[in-house]
Amino acid sequence: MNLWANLSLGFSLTFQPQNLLATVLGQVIGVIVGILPGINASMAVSILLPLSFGLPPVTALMLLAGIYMGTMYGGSITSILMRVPGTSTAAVICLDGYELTRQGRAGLALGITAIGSFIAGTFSLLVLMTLAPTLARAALAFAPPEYFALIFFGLLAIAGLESGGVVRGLISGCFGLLLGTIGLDPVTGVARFTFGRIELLDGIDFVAVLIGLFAVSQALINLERTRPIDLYKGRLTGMLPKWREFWESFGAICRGSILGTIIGILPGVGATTAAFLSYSMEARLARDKSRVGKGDLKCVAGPGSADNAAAGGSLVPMLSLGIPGSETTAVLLGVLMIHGIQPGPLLFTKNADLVWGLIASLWLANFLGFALATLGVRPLTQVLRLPAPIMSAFILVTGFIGAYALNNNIADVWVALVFGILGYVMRRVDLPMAPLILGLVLGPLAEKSFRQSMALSRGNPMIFFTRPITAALLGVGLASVIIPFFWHLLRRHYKEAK
Amino acid sequence: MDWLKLLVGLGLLGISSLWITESLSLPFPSYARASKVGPAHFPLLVASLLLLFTILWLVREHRKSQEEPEVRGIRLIPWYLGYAGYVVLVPFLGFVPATFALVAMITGLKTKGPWPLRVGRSLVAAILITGVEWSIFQKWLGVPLPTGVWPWGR
Repeated sequence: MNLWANLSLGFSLTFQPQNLLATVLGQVIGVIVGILPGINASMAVSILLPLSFGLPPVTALMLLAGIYMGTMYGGSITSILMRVPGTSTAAVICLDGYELTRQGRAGLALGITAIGSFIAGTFSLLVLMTLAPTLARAALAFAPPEYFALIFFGLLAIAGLESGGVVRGLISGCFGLLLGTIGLDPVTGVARFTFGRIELLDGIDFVAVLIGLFAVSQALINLERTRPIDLYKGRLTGMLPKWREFWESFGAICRGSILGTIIGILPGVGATTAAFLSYSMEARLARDKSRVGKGDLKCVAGPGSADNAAAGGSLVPMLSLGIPGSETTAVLLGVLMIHGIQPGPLLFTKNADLVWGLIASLWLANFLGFALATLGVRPLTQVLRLPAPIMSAFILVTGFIGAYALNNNIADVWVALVFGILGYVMRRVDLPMAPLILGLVLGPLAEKSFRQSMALSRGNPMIFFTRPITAALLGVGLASVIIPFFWHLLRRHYKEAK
Repeated sequence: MDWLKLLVGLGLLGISSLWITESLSLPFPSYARASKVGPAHFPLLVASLLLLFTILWLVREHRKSQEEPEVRGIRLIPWYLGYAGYVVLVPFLGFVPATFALVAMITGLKTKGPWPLRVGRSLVAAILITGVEWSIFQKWLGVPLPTGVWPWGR
């Protein structure tokens, strides 16, 4: 089937009543989540996972991916109006966005961010539609050694690009891999690391882990600090920019879209980095540097576009290779597995309806996000009137039910509770969570592929270095860890010498 | 060094050591010998790497900060214990009474204002949240939430 036939199949699925409802609902929830400080996309997707259990896979994915895209639109609203970033991706928009609000140009800042986000979303979806199937087709030649190398590459790339440092990323990834070894050995059936507990024979349920790491820990952090938020009381007029203002920002929007999409495709870098890099690019390119940080429209348009583009871009490796590009896509990968769908290159051939349905729903979500971010700002920001303790209590109770509903078993709630404190501690000591999730989710597959490869080569590890794709993936993966490490050493040496 | 980082580092060292010890006691079934890789090798390799990276991290953190240890995270403990207490109580009290109590406690303790207003607000929040969660999950999605030891729950 060609691109248009696939896309029309996707739209026919998207416009089915329950899928349409899921997309709209996901988008509304996403924008609200984006507006609310202290709740991010990965957390919202984790706590709403149980809602998707009873839904068909495509509907579940549309709901949760809609939330993901929606948060990107919502995050910038509170950044611009209140200098309170709704999500970490929108933190950089505070700098010039809030200055524009102080100058009485809040409507213009919101309008240009919404338009930029829409253009960036459209661009990243075009890249997703064209690049992902090609990548998946190329990956169809993969055998166990290539699968192992691919997972190895994904883990190292995520660990290597973590802002907290390579070693921290590697610690988190190894810890996730270790957790993935709990339960029955996938090849021989030997019970490992169960310490005599029957509950652990099936391994640790990663949904309970996700709920603990993202929802419980963040709700507990929110309970620690209650920060009152001042609602914006000014008038929101002039949300549609004039042609001159639009053309002034158009270059920044294009640069943000391209940069964001490329960064989104790289595993583990994420939308936050894309937004910050875009800001720094616009600040450098600015003709009048004195305006930077004092309400420069380009410094709002660029990052506002880059984060949206990164969200779309991060779906490329997830759908084509089964390697998530961000924390939230790691959770979405888990959703596929819950519904019995094996992520990876075969997804495009075995589950074409699901993939193209998702892509079509993202197109719709992009339009809806634009509409909500321009027309629904005033009513949507009223959710900020909800006191933070009520929100935290709601999240804790939903987290409890989410973990309990997995197997109607209180043991899963204890797992969520343990990982709740672990998530809190990891945030406090700056250990990244994405490598842990990736290690836990893909660890068993990595081990199975590793052992199948060793069986194929009758125990000769050279199988990983004599096959071109495997050697290339392992090489790039190792380089992504080694280069930042030596770069850091060189910079330190240079600083000391100075 | 920050005491929390030290604690996390020691915890990770403990976990990786435990994994290494357990891996060494795992059997190597004869039918898996062709690949020369048994059920112990992968966890042994990963645990050894974790041990190595944790040592590297601890050394770097120790070099980086020589200032007084910072006491953090104490304010979280009562909330964490409160939530753990809720998880313990749900099977006995049932979902509805335990959730009502948890939400009332959180909103009552964390909201500001004169006490009658706080009590009123927390009761309304407790009724609303418990009602919404119960309606969505028990009534709509059919999740059998714990009913507790009460005769009417059976």
